[in-house]
Amino acid sequence: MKDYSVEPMASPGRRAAAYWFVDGLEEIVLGLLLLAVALMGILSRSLSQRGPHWLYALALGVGFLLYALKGRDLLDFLKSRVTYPRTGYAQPPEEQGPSAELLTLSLEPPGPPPKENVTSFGRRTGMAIFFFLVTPIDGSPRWLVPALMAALAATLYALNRNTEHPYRWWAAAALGLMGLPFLWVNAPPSVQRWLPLSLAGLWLAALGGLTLIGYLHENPYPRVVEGART
Amino acid sequence: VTTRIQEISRLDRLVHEPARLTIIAILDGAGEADFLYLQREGGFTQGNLSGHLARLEEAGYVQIEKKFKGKLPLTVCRLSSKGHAAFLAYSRSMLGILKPGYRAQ
Repeated sequence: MKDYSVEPMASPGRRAAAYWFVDGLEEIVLGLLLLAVALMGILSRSLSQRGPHWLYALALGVGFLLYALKGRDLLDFLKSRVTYPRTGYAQPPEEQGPSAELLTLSLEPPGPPPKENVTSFGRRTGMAIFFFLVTPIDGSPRWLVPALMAALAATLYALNRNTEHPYRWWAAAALGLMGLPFLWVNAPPSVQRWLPLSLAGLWLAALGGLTLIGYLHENPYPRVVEGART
Repeated sequence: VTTRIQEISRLDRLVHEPARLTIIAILDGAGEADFLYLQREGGFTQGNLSGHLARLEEAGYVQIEKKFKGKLPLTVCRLSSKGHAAFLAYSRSMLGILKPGYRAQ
């Protein structure tokens, strides 16, 4: 079987955290969610040319709320059919809170060792997308979309570089170059606002899809499904 | 040197065995894992892993629970508090023993 871990010498906790991403399902789900939100935005813009885009706001709120509350359940459902029968189950990593990254000076005795089976992928990716892509670009110059995509690609690459889920340079380069055609192509006004979000969603879903295809190719469905035989 | 050797002889042999130490280290880091994952991560054969898990369960170091993920049966192993304490004690002993200029306390 192929070794999908970050690096061979990583601790068991970090290997378990990296294992969550071997099948690309997390990225597929997040990418499709972003695409759906962008599609709702485009639809909302087409339906009501003026006034508040209440349909989009509603879709954005409901979409992200559903992802936050039910995302893990959906991924668990998918993984129990795709991943666990093939390469086994390991406890999903907890989402690491920002407090874990704060450095504190204290005279108190050291506490228990920090948990290592944690991830901050969702927070990192969500924050990067929020900062770069929820930018009003109606009537902006053509170079803004390529510039936003390049900045997002560089940020995602740098943020994830030494984590449980690093991106290859070519994957980040692909995201950075996705905005380039829009230097020459003039997108309709109803689409322009949601272009970066759509491109980011497409990139995530495509990357996850490629990972999933590679994973399924490497790990065919076993004849015997049951786990432990102790 | 004598105290170091005495300390080595007092090591928990259930944890000290390399295959069981691997299983315990994986479960301590991952939280919980099933047979397939342990087999893949540790490079075990089915029979070997099965035997070691049975010994660890017998000693109360590992809890094995049979449950379902979706419609698939899944047998999940996790380190018990007793197993976690044994692993911590073993780690401390080993770190002490391997430290240069070791003195037993």
